[in-house]
Parts: sequence; C-alpha cells; structure tokens
Amino acid sequence: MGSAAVTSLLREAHAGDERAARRLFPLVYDELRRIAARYMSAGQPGHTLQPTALVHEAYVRLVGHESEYWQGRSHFFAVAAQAMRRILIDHLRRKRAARRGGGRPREPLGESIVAPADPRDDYLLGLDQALTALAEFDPRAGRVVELRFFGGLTVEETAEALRVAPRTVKREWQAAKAWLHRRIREPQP
Amino acid sequence: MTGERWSRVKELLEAASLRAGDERLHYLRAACDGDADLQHEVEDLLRAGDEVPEFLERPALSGFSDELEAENAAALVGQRVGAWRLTELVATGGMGAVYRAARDDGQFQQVAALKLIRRDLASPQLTRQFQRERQTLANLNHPNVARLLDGGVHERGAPYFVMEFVAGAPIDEYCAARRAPLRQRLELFLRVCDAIMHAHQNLIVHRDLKPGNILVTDAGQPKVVDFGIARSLDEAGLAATLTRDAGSRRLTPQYASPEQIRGEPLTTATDVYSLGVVLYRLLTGQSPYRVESGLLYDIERAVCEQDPEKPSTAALRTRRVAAAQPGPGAENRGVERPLPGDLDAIVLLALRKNPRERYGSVEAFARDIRRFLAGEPVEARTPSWRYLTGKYLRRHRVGLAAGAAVTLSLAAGLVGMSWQAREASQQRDAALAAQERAEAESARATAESRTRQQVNDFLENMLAAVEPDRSGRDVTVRETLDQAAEQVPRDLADQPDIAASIYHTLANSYSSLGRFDDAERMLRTAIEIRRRLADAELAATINDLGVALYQQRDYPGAEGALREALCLLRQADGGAPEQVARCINNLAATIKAQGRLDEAEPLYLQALEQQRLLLGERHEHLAETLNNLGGLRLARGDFAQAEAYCRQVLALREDLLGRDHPDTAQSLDNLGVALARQDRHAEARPLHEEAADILRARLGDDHPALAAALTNLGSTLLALKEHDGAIEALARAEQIRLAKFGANDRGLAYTRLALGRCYASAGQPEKAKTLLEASYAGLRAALGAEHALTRQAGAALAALNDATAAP
Repeated sequence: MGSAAVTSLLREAHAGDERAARRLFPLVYDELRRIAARYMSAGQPGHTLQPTALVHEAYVRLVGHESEYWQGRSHFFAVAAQAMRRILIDHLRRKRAARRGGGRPREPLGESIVAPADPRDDYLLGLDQALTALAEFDPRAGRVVELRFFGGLTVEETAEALRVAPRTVKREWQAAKAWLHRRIREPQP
Repeated sequence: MTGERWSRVKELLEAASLRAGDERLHYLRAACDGDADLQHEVEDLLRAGDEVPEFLERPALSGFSDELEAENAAALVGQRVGAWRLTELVATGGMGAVYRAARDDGQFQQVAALKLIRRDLASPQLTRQFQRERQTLANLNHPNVARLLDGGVHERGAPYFVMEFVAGAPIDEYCAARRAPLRQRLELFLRVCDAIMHAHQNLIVHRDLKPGNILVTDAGQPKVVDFGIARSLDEAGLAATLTRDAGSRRLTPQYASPEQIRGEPLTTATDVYSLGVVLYRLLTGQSPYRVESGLLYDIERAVCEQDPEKPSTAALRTRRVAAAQPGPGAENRGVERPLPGDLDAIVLLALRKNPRERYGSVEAFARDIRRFLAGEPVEARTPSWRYLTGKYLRRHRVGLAAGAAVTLSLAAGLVGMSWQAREASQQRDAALAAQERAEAESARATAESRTRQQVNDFLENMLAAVEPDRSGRDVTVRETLDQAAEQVPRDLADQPDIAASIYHTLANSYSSLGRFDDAERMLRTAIEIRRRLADAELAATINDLGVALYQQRDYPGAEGALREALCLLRQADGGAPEQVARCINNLAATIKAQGRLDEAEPLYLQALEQQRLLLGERHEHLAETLNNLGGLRLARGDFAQAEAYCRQVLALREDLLGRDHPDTAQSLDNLGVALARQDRHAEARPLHEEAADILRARLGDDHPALAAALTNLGSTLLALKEHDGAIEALARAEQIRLAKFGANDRGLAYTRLALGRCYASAGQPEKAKTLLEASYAGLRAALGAEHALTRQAGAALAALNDATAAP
C-alpha cells in the first residue's frame, strides 16, 4: 500500500470513519513491530526509550514527510500507541501461553536475547485489563494512558493527538495513574 | 461510577495535588461539603498516586523489543528465502536472525545456516559491494572458516547470507563449559588465528570477530563464521551490529576496535584487535573494559580511551568472584591458574588503541603465542635485556650461579649487564625520559661512567633493532649477542675504547651462557683493541681470556694468558691487589689442572693470604680459593686436610649464600668426596644426596653440576652396596654428560667407570664390560694411559674379564 493510500486512510479515520481506522491499524501495527525491535533493542537498564521516534519513523515510512498532513500525524500517533499496546499485550499473552506449555520454549544459541520470565509481564497484562476497565467509563483517560505509556508521547504530544489542552492531559494522566495503580494493587474480585 | 461523579473526582484530585498537608485536608473537606464518600475516594486515590511516583512513567516498550524481534524472526520459519527454505530458527541477535535452512530448489540436498540481516542495517550500496566480493568470500577455503555458499537480497532489501552450518558453541562458552586449561585455550585460539590469517592473505578482513562468530564443534574444531558480512552492513548502523553479552541484555561494542568506533578506515589491524579482545575473554572470563553504566556511549568511550586491565589481574578477580559464588555463575570464569606476565604483554599489545602499535599481523600475534607456549621470549615484552636474559635462563634452567659453580672466578658479566641495561632504560617507550636522564648523568659523569653509558646505549639500541620476525625464527639471547657483535665494527669504528668495552661485556654474557668459544673470540678482539690503546682494562680482559680457555680445557693457553694478566696487573700503578689475588687463584687452578700440584699449592696459599688481608675472613672469593685448596689436598690424597678445608668453605658459603645455593651444594658434595675417600661412606651419602637435591632444584634436571653430584652419590652408594640406587644416579649422570659434552668427555668416562663397576658388582657383566671399555678408552684419550684413573679403569676391566673367564 502506497503512502497516498495511507494518508487517505488517516484522513478518513481522522474524520471519524471507523472502517478506515480498522484498515489503518494493521498497517501501523506491522510497521511498528518491525521498527520497534530495532529502536528498542538498546533496552538497557537506565536507558530512556524514545517511542516517539519510533512512531515518527513508522509515520514517515507509511505516510511520507510529516509536513504533508499534520493533523494526520497526530491521529497516527493515536493509532500507533494503540498498536503498540496491542503488540505488547499480544506478545505477552503468547509468551504466557508458551510458558504454560502451549508452545515449545526456544533455546537460543549464541547471542541469547530472549528474556527470562519477567514479573513485569504479569504486571503489564494486569495493567492492560485495568486500562480496559478504565476506558469503559473514561475513554479519554484511557487514551491518555495509551498514548503516554504505550506510545511514549509527551504531555504536549498527547494533547495534540487528542486535541485537548495539555492541562487536561495532565489531569487525566494523574487521575488515571492513581486509579490504575489502586486497581492493580487491589485486584477486583 | 458515574461519569459525572468521576469527573468531579478528577477535578478534586488535580486541585488537591496542588496543596499539601493541612491545607489539602481543609480544601478537600470544604470542597466535598459533607460528601464523605467523595472525600474518601479522592483521598484514597491521592494516596495511591503518591505511593509509586514512577508508576507508568517509563514507557512500556522498554525491554520488549528483543522479544518482539525474536518473535518476528520465528514467524519466518517455513518460508522461503531465495533458493532456501527456513527450517528452524537457530538464534536471533542484533544483526538479524540465523536459521537452519535447506536447499529448496530441487537441485540438491544441502543443509546450511542462513543469516537474514535486518534490512534497516544494510545500505543498498554496501549490499552491492557484498555481491561483488561474494566470489572472493566463496573461495575462502580453510578448515576453520565456515564456507559461504550463497547470498542475496530478500524482499524489501534484507540481505541474507548462506553458509556452512556449524553445530557448535561460541568459543568462550566452549572453553568455560569444559574448564579448558590455559594451553588448550591458546591452542584453540591459534587455530582461529590461522583461519583469520588465511582470510587476510585473500585480502578479506572479518571486521566483526567475537566469540559468537567463532564456534567450536563438539569435535573441538573451531569455525569462524560471518566472514565478509560485517562489510555489507551500514557503517552508521555499526553500534547495532555489535555483539551483546549473552544474558546481560546489554549492547556491548566491546569487540569493536577504537578505529571502528571512530569510523576510521579498517585494516587487518582491526581483526588483530578484536582477536585480542576474544583472547582476553578466553583468559579472564571478562571484557577488557569495565563500564558500570552499560550505556553505549560509555562503552565506546572506554574502548577508545580506557587502558585495559592486565589479564592476569582481571582473571584473578574472576576467580575470586567464582570462588565466592560457586555454582552456575562459575561457568563464566577464565583460566583457573594464575596467568603469566608474558600473556599480559601479548594480549595488551594486541589491544593497543593505535593500530600501528599492535602486532603487525595476526601471524605475528599467533607467533608470539606460540613462543609463549614454547617457553621462549615473546616479542610483546619490551625486549629489555633483563627480560631476554631472564627468559633464556628460565628456559634452560641455568641459574646465574651456574657460572659460580665452576672453580674459576668468572666475571659476573650477565648480572652487571642486565642491571646496567635495566638502569639505562627500563622502557624503550620512555625514550625521552631516558635521554634526559642520560644527559643529566653524563653531565656529571666521569670518563669511565660515560663509557659505560655508551656501552649501554649501544646495547639498548641493538636490542631495539632486533627484529624477531624477520627471519621467521626465534631470537635467542645468543642470536641477539651475535647481532650485537656484528654491529660493533660498523657502528663504533671511531670509538674503539667503547667497542672494546662492548666486546668484553658480550664475552662475559657468552661465558655465562656456557659459550666459551664465542667468549674467547670476543675477548681476543677486545684485547687486540686494548693493546693498541694501552687500555687500563687490558689485564682484566686477558685474565678473562685465560678463564675462557680454561673452560675449554686449553690449560696451557689459559696458563699463558693468566701469567701475562698477572704480570700486567702487578705493573699497574698502585696495583689492583684484589684482581691480582683472583688472577693468582685462576693461575693456580690452571696449573693444578695440568697435574702440577706442587706448583699450584703455594699459589693458592699466596692468593688466600692476599684475600684475607684485603677482604677479611668472610668473603666469597676467599671461599672460592679455600675450595680450590681443598680440591688440591684431595688430589694429593690428603683427605683429612681436604675435609677441613671443605668444612670451612661449607660454613662460609652457608653463611654467605644460604644452604640451598648451588655453591653451597658444591661444598656439600666436595665434603662428601673428602669423607668417602676416608671410607666414611655412610657420612658422605646424605651430603651427596642433599647436594643433588639442591642442584636439581636450582639448576634443573640436566645441568652438568648435577651430573657431578650424581656421580659422587653413585660412587658412595656403590661403596655402600646399594646397587639399585647407585645405578639410577650414575645412569642419569651418564645421560646428562653425554648430552651436554658428547661421547669424548672426560667426566663421562669417569661416570662410566663408576657405572661399570656397579654393573659388575650387580652381576651384569655384559653391561659392565661395555661401559668399562668406553670409560677406559675415554680416560686414556683425555688423561693418558698412565693417569691413575685410566689405570683404575683398566684394572676394573681386567678384573671383570678375569671373573667372566673363570669357570
């Protein structure tokens, strides 16, 4: 699919076309998956991740230069963050299934990079569920978390993507974090 | 929760978070206006928010990319890449993924390893370059190189390479798992060097050498993989191609050379460097660089700026850590024994930051390791005199004291020289400092010390100029000396006094190495020059010539030289009484060796008297003369007197040199002989045994001094009728003397006389006969038919013949 088609999908999605958004998602998802591995491969302790750069590159690859369609770029961020969330959660679910015996654990030879079972996995899966619960009664707060946490966007970028004031983003972010933390800390029955 | 209420909660949260303490409390109480549930909800969320301030602040993707990539890679299994079908994912890494692949075009059955490079790492230009070099790579035919079979570009520009499938473990893991000893690790590494050398000869630089690219099969065969692949990668993407420590999840460009990190042109020196890092890891179990942060930038800076710790020190720490934490962690450890300093030097030379300062080639690197394994001097050491000498002496297990074990006085040439060379410039690198020091020194130097300085300078320069790999052979101390000797006439034609000093110094070194013929040659040249110059050192030089001739058993020649030396010394202004005394001692020994015992004795006594006056009762030179006097008494059959002298010398040497010094051992041995001659064999035996033990420990298994002690021990044991022990000692002595001096040696004939008698007593007449015949012939040739020993041998042979002839 060429960049013109992607731009058109973005425009339509931005205009509220659900079908366009559904067609856009897998494109972004695939592209992000490919780029993510490279950009994030320096996943070292203390290393600050730059998902924005990742999303930006995916955007350039899929759409072209950013100046062409600025609004589309904001929307792209939103789609990308969602895609990233999906990428991670899908991955974690598969990994967990594999650990339960659903798949054969791979024994990498040589340069071993597959991480051992990580408590963070369970935490993220729990977070994903909590976030879904949050979005049920506060979709905007859910989007803020998706953009900030999964998309790596700053407060300003998030505000731009959601077309709200940065202060609103800050308020949503603060409240969502508190709520999510409480929810994860004390799981609902 | 209703949307409206939740919105109110959010507002209150925001407002409350701007306040603290009591103010917050008052605000909330007022804002909630009696709605206790609302107030409680907000307070609860405030607490939750404060509990973990960092919650969600670190984006989710951190740390997941590797897993994502592995998953992406796994998804390709079963698909076709070029003519190959991917059958199994073998590994994933920074560069991409490695698959087991099978030929899928129906042409022929072939299993291979297919490496699919991440397309973002390859630039089209470099991929084209790889295509051009492919033929060269395919021709790289070496048992330790995994062959390149195919290559191309997969969809969307991802390059792939197909090579020989190697089922093996990375070399460091292989060694760690087997706890391979040092030698095995080095030998394995040398085979890797061979492979790289082969590639270099084909003008191919690997550029990405690391343990992950050096696999060792279960059969112990190392295979270097990924040749030429780094080349096709985007230079800018270098950091991402660099290896990562297994399990640590850290990007570690620690196998990349500084020039690689700086983006400078890469040569074979880059492979030398990376091999150095690999060797470092094999020896120590760790990286040469200690970077706490793990940040790429810090690692790169360390590679470019940090001086690696000595491998021996690093290995020590690894062992300590492993000892403190036994179990699985221990598998990372390096070699289990302390690493020698030579290996430090070798590894650190390969790891020099400046490519020009490293080994000039992998070949030179490998050769130095081979030298190390052979116990020979390594090039990596600044070839200081001290080092070359020390190494040579260790290799041959010749203590410096070996010279002193000879009854004549040898100038301590080697000792003095090594000390001087070391003083002149311990490190050639610090040439400037040395020059400054030399200048400062010469400013206040006397003519004599200036000469010494020049001698040292010459020797230093000569050592620096030695090119160990020019001929492809080892450079021994002797060759170094030979080169120096050749160079003197060229370099010092206009400074004959210094040339003579150098010849003299070289002669002393040759003597210490037991090369008396070469010493003689040097001394004769020095004497010729010094005669012309009427040099003050002429007498001393001639004395040393006498010693060199004595050592070659040219006693008349030695006597002539020593007489001339003595004459010159006595003429010298003010004399040199100590030198005169030693010269007299030497002359006496020469005369005694010619059987003129009456003539020798007064000379010894004269030397002894002078030495007592000059040096007091307690001096090594005195001990030497007393020892020779004891030997003279022994030769005269005055055993009691000999014993007295020997005991005196033994006490003196034990006091001056310690019990386990070779000279002390000689005294023990001599005392044993004096006792044995008085038929006090039981007393003699432990003395001989101790002497042999000391000499073996100090000088090695094959030293002539040990042969002498063993011969005496064997004779004593024979007298005690302990034939087995006697035969064992004498047979060893025979071996040593035969190996060191050849079949015509007088000492060998004597040992064979004793051994022949042993066999005769032990009832083995055939062996006895062979030995006694050889002994008789040898003694007659060396000493004449009338000598007492020759007669003894003849008598023993006759007795044997009588015994066997008797019915």
